[in-house]
Amino acid sequence: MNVIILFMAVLVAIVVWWILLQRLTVKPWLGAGATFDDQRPYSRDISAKLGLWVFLAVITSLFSLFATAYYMRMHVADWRPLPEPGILWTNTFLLLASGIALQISQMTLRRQKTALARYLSITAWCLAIAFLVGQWAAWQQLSAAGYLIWNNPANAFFFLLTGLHGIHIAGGIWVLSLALWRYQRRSDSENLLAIQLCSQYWHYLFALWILLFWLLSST
Amino acid sequence: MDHVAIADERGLELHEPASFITRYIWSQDHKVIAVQYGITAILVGLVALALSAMMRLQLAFPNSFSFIAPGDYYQFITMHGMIMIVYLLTALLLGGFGNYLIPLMIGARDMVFPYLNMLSYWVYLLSVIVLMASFFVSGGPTGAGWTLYPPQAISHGTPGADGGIILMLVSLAIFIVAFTMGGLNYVTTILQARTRGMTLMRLPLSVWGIFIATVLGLLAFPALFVSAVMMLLDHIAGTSFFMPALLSEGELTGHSGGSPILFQHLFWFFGHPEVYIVALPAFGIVSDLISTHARRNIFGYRMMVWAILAIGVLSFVVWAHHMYVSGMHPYFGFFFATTTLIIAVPTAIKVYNWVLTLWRGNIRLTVPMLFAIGFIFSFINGGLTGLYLGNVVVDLPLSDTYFVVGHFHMVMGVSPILVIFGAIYHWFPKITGRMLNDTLGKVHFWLTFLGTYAIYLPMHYLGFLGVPRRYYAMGDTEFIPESAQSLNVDITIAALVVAVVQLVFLVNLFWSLRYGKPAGGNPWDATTLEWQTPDTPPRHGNWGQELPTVYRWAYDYSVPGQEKDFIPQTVPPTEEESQEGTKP
Ligand code: HEM
Ligand SMILES: [Cu+2]
Repeated sequence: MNVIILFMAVLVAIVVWWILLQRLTVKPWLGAGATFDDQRPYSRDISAKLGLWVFLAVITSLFSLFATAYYMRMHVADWRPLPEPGILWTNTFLLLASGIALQISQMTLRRQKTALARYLSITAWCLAIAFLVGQWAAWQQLSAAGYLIWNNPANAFFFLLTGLHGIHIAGGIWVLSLALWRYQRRSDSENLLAIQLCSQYWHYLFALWILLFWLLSST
Repeated sequence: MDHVAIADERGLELHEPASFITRYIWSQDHKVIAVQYGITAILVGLVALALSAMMRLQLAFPNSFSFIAPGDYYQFITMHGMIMIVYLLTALLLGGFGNYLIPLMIGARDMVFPYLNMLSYWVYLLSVIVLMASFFVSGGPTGAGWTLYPPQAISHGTPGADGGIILMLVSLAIFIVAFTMGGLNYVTTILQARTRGMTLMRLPLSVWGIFIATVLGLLAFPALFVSAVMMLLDHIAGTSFFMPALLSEGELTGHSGGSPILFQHLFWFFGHPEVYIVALPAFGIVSDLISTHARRNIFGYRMMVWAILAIGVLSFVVWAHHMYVSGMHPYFGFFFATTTLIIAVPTAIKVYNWVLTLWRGNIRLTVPMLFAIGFIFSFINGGLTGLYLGNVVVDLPLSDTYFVVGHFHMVMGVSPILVIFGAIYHWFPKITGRMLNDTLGKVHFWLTFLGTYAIYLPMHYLGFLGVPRRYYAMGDTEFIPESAQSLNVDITIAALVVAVVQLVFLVNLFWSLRYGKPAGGNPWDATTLEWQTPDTPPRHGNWGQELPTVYRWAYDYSVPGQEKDFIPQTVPPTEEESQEGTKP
């Protein structure tokens, strides 16, 4: 319960802050006329980033609800914590490295080093795939050790949450693949936008993974 | 290929899609997608309507229909409720009207992410197909009730506990993906792609309602997603998220420790905001209908906007009023009863403002206006009974009786549906270029409006008698008098009439498409941008070469001293107005 309430509170704070910025107290029926001196022109980049951020808010809502359910279910007596496979630390490192590679790729692209940026993004792509493979290996280790999804709710949450996180990573990889596929046909600014979006998404999913890792081992 | 600049990126040309397929099927044009959403939603809605007719027949004449077994009745209820709420109302109001109105009302050429928008529709269609498939799997669709409570939803003995429930849960998950794709578009488009001069406080209330409803949906649907996924795992993978230890047909089921209450919390964390996901767009649209057809500016525009925002926030802290009967700490009950009463305040403000807008308005009793006024009646009605049910002590005896059925049909069945009809009569001329037939429209309105009252008003009374909801037949129940059964017959007659009257509406749609009176660009003399497009129906890209510029708010009706009784948002200020504007 606390997690989702916290998320909602933060969200409400953001919304209220946004509302305060929006001059929702003007009286629109007065003062017909031009009020667009301070309106900035439409920007494709800003729209794309805003779209991504709204999407991240949706994912946050999703995982906060899972976390809430996790805490509520944890207090039932049949909960048996499971040992975290050590490979998860390696995976954490892989995901972090992948995000960093994308970040550097974005920075090099900004300095017009198009080819280098491409290699960095490909590196990030490979590291992300490696992360997924690593997660898969963690699943295998757990299953081999007898921690199956139906044995215990702790196991079930582990598989469920890592699985969903993995699906989000896979979605990111798909988008990055498309960006790389079209890379040489596109202008630098288009590539920059694509890589920027990917790297923001990557950083978010890394932070999410850290929280999940902590949540899953907090029992 | 068919790229359009969303806002004024000058120098970019508009490419109209060339072939039939890219124009009407794989279309990225928000207007086509809106119509696709609309048609699909209405078609599944007809399925839900047919199911309700069968339920009513069964209730009026128990023991007469051999083809309706008790299990079938549960399946009808469940599919009827879920289709109506999610696949009809949500999809039609946001996917349909949201798609059509947002870009046109804010002066954009299209949604910000047209490709995603197209995908949203096709994924929605997939969810509908999966849902409909459940009618054809062995065991049939799920009969768990639209609330899908575990453990019974996935236990043996519940109709459709094998295939039906799985398809239902999968379909819901797919729907949520589709909704998210559409929702990202609506929010980003409203925030980013407004044309010059269209400040937030100049947005028509329709856009405000759709905007906040979308935000609610984006945050609340994940709760349904979470519950659907965990229930699927309980069912398929044998986990115990929601399933407690159970004895079924003398054997342990293998589950243990799961919490059905956890499901209820998750479900209603989605379920209550869902009421407002449906209601807020309806509130917004009805405000515009009333203002336009009463030739009067909407009363208290700012208060309307603030009320929408307040309702949006509050709707996340009332969910447990659906769980009074499940039992909870008395302080919790007190808390949720209080929040429920508080949320009535902004809602009541909106009702007052509608009525005050009508007051001394120059009311034109057009068909959209009739539906809008009908909405005010049914909404006040349903809202008041909601206040009763929000109180723990009143809810406990009335819960799961026909009083509840009467209440929620009034407030979230009939009310939004009336608005949707009004909106279709209002915007059909823009969508197709032709007016709907007036006489047929009035017949449709009066029979539907009076008919729904004849259906749902008596249900409140049945509820007082204690007639339980979700019962296949009453049998020889002692406390239910004979007269309740004859009332049931009357209700069914009314329901069948209402169902048949919808044919009038369908006929009107088809007939007017060909033979309706040509509408012209602005048949209602309305101020908002969608009525100022260069072509009707608007072409790909909506605005021709130049995007419109907005100089005023959306409600300049009957401004004193003007020769016409409306001033479109695109008209620059007159001399006096600009002087007035410089005054602080
Ligand atoms: C002429 C139109 C309609 C008729 C005759 C009708 C009739 C019924 C009937 C007979 C039931 C079952 C009551 C019971 O046995 O407990 C029912 C349930 C329900 N209806 Fe309708 N209905 C109509 C329209 C709508 C609309 C527009 C909505 C949209 C919100 C809606 C939402 C529901 C829901 C949510 C349930 C509860 C399902 C459940 O108990 O799981 N209905 N309706
Ligand atoms: Cu509620």
